[in-house]
Amino acid sequence: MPEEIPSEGSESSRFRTTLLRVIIIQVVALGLLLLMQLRYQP
Amino acid sequence: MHWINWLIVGVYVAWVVVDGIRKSKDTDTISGYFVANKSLSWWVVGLSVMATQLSAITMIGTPGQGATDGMRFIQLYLGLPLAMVILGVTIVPLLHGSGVYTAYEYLERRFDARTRSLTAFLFLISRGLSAGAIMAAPGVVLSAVFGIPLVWAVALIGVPTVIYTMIGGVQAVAWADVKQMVLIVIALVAIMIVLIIQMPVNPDEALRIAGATGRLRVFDFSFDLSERYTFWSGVIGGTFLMLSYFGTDQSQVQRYLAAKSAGEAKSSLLMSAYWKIPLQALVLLVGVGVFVYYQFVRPPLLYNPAQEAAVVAERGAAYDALQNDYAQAFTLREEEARAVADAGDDATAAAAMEAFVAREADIQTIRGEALAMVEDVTGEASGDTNYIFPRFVLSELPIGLAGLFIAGVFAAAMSSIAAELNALSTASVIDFYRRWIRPDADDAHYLAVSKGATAFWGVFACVVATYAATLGSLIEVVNRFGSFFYGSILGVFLLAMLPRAKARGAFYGLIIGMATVGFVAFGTTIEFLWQNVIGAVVVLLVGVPLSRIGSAEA
Repeated sequence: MPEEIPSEGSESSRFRTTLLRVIIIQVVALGLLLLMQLRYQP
Repeated sequence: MHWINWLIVGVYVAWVVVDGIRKSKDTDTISGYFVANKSLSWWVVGLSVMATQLSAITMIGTPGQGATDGMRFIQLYLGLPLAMVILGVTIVPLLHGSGVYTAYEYLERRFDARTRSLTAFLFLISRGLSAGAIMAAPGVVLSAVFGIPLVWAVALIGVPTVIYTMIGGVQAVAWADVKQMVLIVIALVAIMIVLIIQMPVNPDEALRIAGATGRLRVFDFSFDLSERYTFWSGVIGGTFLMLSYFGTDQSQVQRYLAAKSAGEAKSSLLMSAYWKIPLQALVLLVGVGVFVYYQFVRPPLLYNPAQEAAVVAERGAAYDALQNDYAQAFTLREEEARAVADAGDDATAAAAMEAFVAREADIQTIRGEALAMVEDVTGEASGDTNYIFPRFVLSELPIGLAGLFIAGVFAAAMSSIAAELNALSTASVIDFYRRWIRPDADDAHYLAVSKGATAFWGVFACVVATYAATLGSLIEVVNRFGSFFYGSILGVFLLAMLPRAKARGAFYGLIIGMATVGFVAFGTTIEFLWQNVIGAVVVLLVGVPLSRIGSAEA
């Protein structure tokens, strides 16, 4: 079934790309929240 | 509420119902009705997963929590991204590839019928009641704020939801969720923008005022099992909670079973993983913004208009006196809030913050007296926090935006309830009716029964919601009861991944796990997030050796 190979490949690639985005967005979001706490919380 | 706001709500609800049904295809087979013939794209499933989890309580109660308690609630979600990644490589491919309609169906293939039936039964009981609680929360608030009977508020939310869920199945639910999620985000962002524009101080000054009262303390790194929200309970307990919820609860599992492939299902969960914390931060920040706004614009002493009316009717003179004290205390606090905002150097800022915190404590004392009055007069806990945000929206926001918010509340309630009804119907038909009563009927028969089951659970939820206000503490017990077996059911699914685990270990492990969590919940001060960890671990610790005994005997 040759048509399934590129489909699975693209899904796997999308999973990795999305995972990378997850990590980046979490680091940025949590970093901003921590900065806010350090800057404004006495 | 202005008629334009009602018009926005009406148009939105009509659109969701009509378009949800219109988008439903091939719902004349159970595969189409329950899992959309596995045809949905990852982004549709992803938005549906997020909309299902974001209930009306998030729209109404969470900003109120941000206003009164600050940002620390966000720690509950710290484990979510990790849980989604773990699920993406474990349970999702397992369930998606096995061709099941429910998560519990898989447990029979792996273990036995009684483990399947017990987990499905626990799901039906807890989710049936919680669907009522999910409907009751916005119903009670909308009824008090608009002065309409509770039964009307419940019907306004429940009837359209039951109609589109019953007719369109999972596709109607998923496509309605997409619209609902978009509307919720637009409403929150618009409110945040308006809040910033209307705020009498600039954002930097507003954050300084919020910080002075501890509301910007996001992370608590202490390791205290009796503290509800800490960094560690969020990362460890939160991961187990999210693994249980997204991995074993049919209302979530059914969403990604409808994805085109296991890969699309995994991507849909990751979508939720990367939006949840920023979205929750936005909701809580809106609440913190409301707190700061109310430093300069005097809010009502009691936010629930129905309870305020009851107190005025019975304790008019005492409440008037309290109102006078409140007005004076508010003026003093406002002066100190301005001093915090205007403080130039660190020393001035520290002194201003100290004075501001003292005035804030005065306000809280007066509010405490008013809330005690409510409890005396009405005989029920005030739950005033849930009314802060709706009161703010309706009294301070421009016409149109308030309608958008109320439509957002409807959207959040409908998306969560629709998912529950859809999942309850699926588990009732697949795990009980088809398994035990009519195993050999055709699709048309199961479809008719499924639609009937959706209507039954819809009516059941509406009845529970209507009585929820008087059941108060019972609903709390129900929610707590639900948390008893979340971790334990996760434990059973974890056992399922161990090749040597057997049915006996799974069944008795589940029962002992739930009993242990019940003991921990009532007999100790350990907070609920840790109970999920305990449940899952006990099932594994009991289930593995019991499976070996079973093997030895066999």
